[in-house]
Amino acid sequence: MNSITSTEAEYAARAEGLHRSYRRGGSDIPVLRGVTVEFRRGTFTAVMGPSGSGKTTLLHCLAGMDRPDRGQVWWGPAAVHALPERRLARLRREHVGFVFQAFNLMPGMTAAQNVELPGRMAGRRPARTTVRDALARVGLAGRERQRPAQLSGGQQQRVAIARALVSRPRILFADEPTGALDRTTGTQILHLLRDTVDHHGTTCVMVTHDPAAAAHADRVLLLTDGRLVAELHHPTSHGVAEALAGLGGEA
Amino acid sequence: MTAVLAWSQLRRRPAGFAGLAAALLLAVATVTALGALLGAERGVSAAERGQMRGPGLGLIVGAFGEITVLVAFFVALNTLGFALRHQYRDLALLRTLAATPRQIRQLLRRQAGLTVVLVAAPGALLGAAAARALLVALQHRAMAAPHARIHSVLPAAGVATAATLLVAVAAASLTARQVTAPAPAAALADSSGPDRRPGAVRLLAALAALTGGALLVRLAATRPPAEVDKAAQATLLAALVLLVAVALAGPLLTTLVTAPLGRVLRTVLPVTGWQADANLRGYARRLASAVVPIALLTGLSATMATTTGTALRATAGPPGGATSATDSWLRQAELGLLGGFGAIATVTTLVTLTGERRREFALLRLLGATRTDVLRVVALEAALTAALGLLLGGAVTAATTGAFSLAATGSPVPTVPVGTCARIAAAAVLLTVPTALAAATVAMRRPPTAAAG
Ligand SMILES: Nc1ncnc2c1ncn2[C@@H]1O[C@H](COP(=O)(O)OP(=O)(O)OP(=O)(O)O)[C@@H](O)[C@H]1O
Ligand SMILES: [Mg+2]
Repeated sequence: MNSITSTEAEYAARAEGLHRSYRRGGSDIPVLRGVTVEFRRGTFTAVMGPSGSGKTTLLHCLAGMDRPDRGQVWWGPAAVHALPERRLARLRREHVGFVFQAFNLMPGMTAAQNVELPGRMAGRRPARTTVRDALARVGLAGRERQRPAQLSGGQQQRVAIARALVSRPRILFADEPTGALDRTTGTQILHLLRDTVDHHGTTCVMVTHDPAAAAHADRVLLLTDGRLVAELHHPTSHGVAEALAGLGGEA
Repeated sequence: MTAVLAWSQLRRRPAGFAGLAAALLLAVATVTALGALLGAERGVSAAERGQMRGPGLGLIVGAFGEITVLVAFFVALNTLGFALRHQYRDLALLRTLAATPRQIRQLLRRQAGLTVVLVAAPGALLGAAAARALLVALQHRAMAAPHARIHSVLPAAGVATAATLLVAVAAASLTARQVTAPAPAAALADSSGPDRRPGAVRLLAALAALTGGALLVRLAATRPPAEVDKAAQATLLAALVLLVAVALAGPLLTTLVTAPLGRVLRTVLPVTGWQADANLRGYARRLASAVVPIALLTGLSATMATTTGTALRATAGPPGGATSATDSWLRQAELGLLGGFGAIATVTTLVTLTGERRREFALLRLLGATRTDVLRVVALEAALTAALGLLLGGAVTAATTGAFSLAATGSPVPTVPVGTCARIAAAAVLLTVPTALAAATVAMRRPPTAAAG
């Protein structure tokens, strides 16, 4: 077996030398400055760092939702950075699940319809029981027919998680999935993510500000000013908090 | 404070006020033109006036004015609602910052007033030009005295501006209730405007309008053949009143009609159709506000065209011939003006409704839909919207013109000018689908990661 195929087999996603900047007031503000990172199959990674450090931007680039200015993104053997828009959209639909920091749901659709949506777009029709089970797993049994406006922020977030999980993505990205939840519901969600990683071989990448949430992951990446500055394996809540304090930023 | 805020909102979101400005401009222009025409035969001898063909300038202006002025203000009210929708979130935020409902109402009134002031001069100029052109055309057809001429338009313009101002300000107070009625937090949570079930008051009003419309239909149907003119007037008025009923009962009607239509759609197009159906169901009110102007535009024009067609058949003969020809020319002119109003209302509505779905489109793209996929759903939704509008407009046309035909010819089957009606339907679809697609394309210009979240 040569080295390229073993890399492909081993890593669900990897990125090399990612640069991304935004234009603001006539000049380019760098947000990512050369991020190189790999995600082993079936692992759970937490990304942490101060507000504005580029976590969301990194996640968008890794999920093929934003194009880096420079650098490469790979999902297994697929060169994401080189794919044309349409092929990328198709591939993303099949391989990637995403839970956004905010505005996750189609406001006109019911909870169940929102969960069905990606499958529908891929030309499948998810079974009714699958949708119901997915909602039940995030504690929303019986809420199938409600629309986002009738759900709390945390409940909306959970519908988004159900949607991300129902298509059984190979890689699941979640941007502060527990940010709007109380501790009990948050822990429930984290157990759910942990479970999909352990039992379904999903690769999960989660952004969080909460050291206790990060402790559920296999590894923590610390991002500051668009650079990866530290990596913790088998993190504990205490260890993560200390590492963050060492950055001199986050409370 | 509110005056500054009113002005800054206008400057910050000029696009949100474009439709309102266009509608108010046309309202000022119409009233100015009609007023100027009314005064045109001053100083013309009674003998000269007596030689003219047709019903006389005063009656022409009256008939022309009645419907167009009503429609003008209906459209102004509609566009005002959308100007409010554009800034719904800002206003809701203001309310959480302890702005009183009175202040919000005042803010909206100032905005409406300011818009009228901005369009008054160009509207008056447009009205004066239109009055001159119309007078020349009428004189050419010997329907106005050769010595009639447009005197000073200033009084007419003054009255037009004042009337438009009054209506706009009153309408602003009414629409303000949309933001001031819910509690501040509820208003903020519902950032693009509420999508509640229609209230009891609204349904009662719809029922009242429906009853009024039905009475007018009966009035039209029972006129003796000698009173065809009266029957025609009752028919048009009935159409307008029934369309108001449609507007009031819009959310309910669209829900009723979308359900079976959506089921078909989902079966035929499991991907695009399913999405369009889900979106349309979830937003009965949004759909209704897009359907109403289309129903108005097509219902009124088709009623007018069919009434004229039926009347022509009923009075086909030498004496009526000339009158009917000029009469139908007048109807054509009126049709053109109504079309203008309808187009403004339709475009404003669609641009606003599609534009505010920016985040939805971004989300769909992030979930793996391509731009083309999203546009396909939008096109389908727009086509459905047009179809619903045509259906409702067509139903109103059938009811009213059937009654007219019964009065004029004794048969409830009117003479339908198929060509004109096909053109009206085509215009509705051609206005709806490309407008929605263009608005959606603009809404998707920014990368989805920037628009969502
Ligand atoms: N579309 C955009 N246009 C301009 N600047 C942007 C855009 N998106 C993000 N930025 C900027 O990029 C920087 C990083 O943003 P990003 O959303 O990645 O931060 P983050 O680490 O996720 O922060 P938070 O913890 O607050 O969510 C910020 O300074 C932000 O202002
Ligand atoms: Mg973020």
